[in-house]
Amino acid sequence: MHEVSIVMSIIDIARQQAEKASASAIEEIELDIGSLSGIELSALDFAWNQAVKETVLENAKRTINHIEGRAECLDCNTVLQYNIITTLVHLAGDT
Amino acid sequence: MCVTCGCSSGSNSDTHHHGDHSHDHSHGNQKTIIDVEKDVLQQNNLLAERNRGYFYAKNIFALNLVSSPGSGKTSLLERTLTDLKGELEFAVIEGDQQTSNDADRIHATGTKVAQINTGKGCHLDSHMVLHAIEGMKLKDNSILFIENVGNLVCPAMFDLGEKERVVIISVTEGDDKPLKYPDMFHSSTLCVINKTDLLPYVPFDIEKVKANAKKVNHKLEIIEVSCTSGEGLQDWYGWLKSKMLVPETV
Ligand SMILES: Nc1nc2c(ncn2[C@@H]2O[C@H](COP(=O)(O)OP(=O)(O)O)[C@@H](O)[C@H]2O)c(=O)[nH]1
Ligand SMILES: [Mg+2]
Repeated sequence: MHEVSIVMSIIDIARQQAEKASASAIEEIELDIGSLSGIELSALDFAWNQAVKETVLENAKRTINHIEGRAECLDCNTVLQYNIITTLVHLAGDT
Repeated sequence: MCVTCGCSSGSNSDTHHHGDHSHDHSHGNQKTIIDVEKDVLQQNNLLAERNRGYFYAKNIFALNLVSSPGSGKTSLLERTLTDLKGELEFAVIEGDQQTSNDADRIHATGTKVAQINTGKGCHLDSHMVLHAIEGMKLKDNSILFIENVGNLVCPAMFDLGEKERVVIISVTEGDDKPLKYPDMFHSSTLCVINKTDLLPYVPFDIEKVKANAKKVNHKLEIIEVSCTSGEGLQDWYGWLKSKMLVPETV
């Protein structure tokens, strides 16, 4: 459940940005989360609901952009999907 | 105003392209969109760099020991601190949710130790380590072991400012663990396989675990040890010393 730490950081950053912009509320927050980031979305969800209470993000609508992992073949520069950490073997000509 | 593209709130609707993503947003009624583009772990990473700078300046070799509970992190430290006493200077930071049991075990070897209790927290972070080292008066040219909370998932994301991350796996845990918990093996530089004295009693294929670990991190170094029988510990000590003896450039 390191997602709790993640959510706390997000709240901190949001609060700082809101203060800087003299905003009275944050209505919406958009997050980019990559598939290799080590964040489990259901855990993030659970942590979020608990952690945002009585913070600037309590009523903010949350949008998550899922970013696909990508790898590039060093031999032929083909870009491959890479969503779990493992060794990829790409033979030129394959896709 | 949109921070990235600088558009003012004059127009009503814009399509933005910021790097590799784009989004629509309207600039009507007082609403402002702020592009933050900040890593959520930035605060942790910042303090980790601060710790790293401190270690660098004092030539302290800091290691972050990670594993599931019971793999033998504290046992490996007890052996190391006892066997290399007098040869190298050590200090230890112990991370656990509760108790000072591990700090007591380290203290018994005569080594300087600080205990961090994370309470409900499932990992150490760079801020906790920063506080711990503030009170420790670490010696120059020493080794600092940081034993993380037993957990094969959460500590992976949190840089503490260490030079090397050592993941410990014991032969009773199953040889598929590197594939099941790839983040930890991916972010580590050395893997210590512990409890090899138990190999005759468990169906654990040591070649398979190595292959699996290499699959998620082909640069990972691997050392096999038994803290109980002492087998392989010389390899671990050799590794430690080789890292310490890096000649200083003048
Ligand atoms: N058989 C065997 N047991 C070990 C070995 N190393 C540690 N243990 C035992 O494993 C248990 C957990 O060890 P500990 O060092 O507390 O693990 P930690 O939670 O990773 O710090 C203890 O009962 C140790 O005595 C080993 O090499 N062989
Ligand atoms: Mg321990």
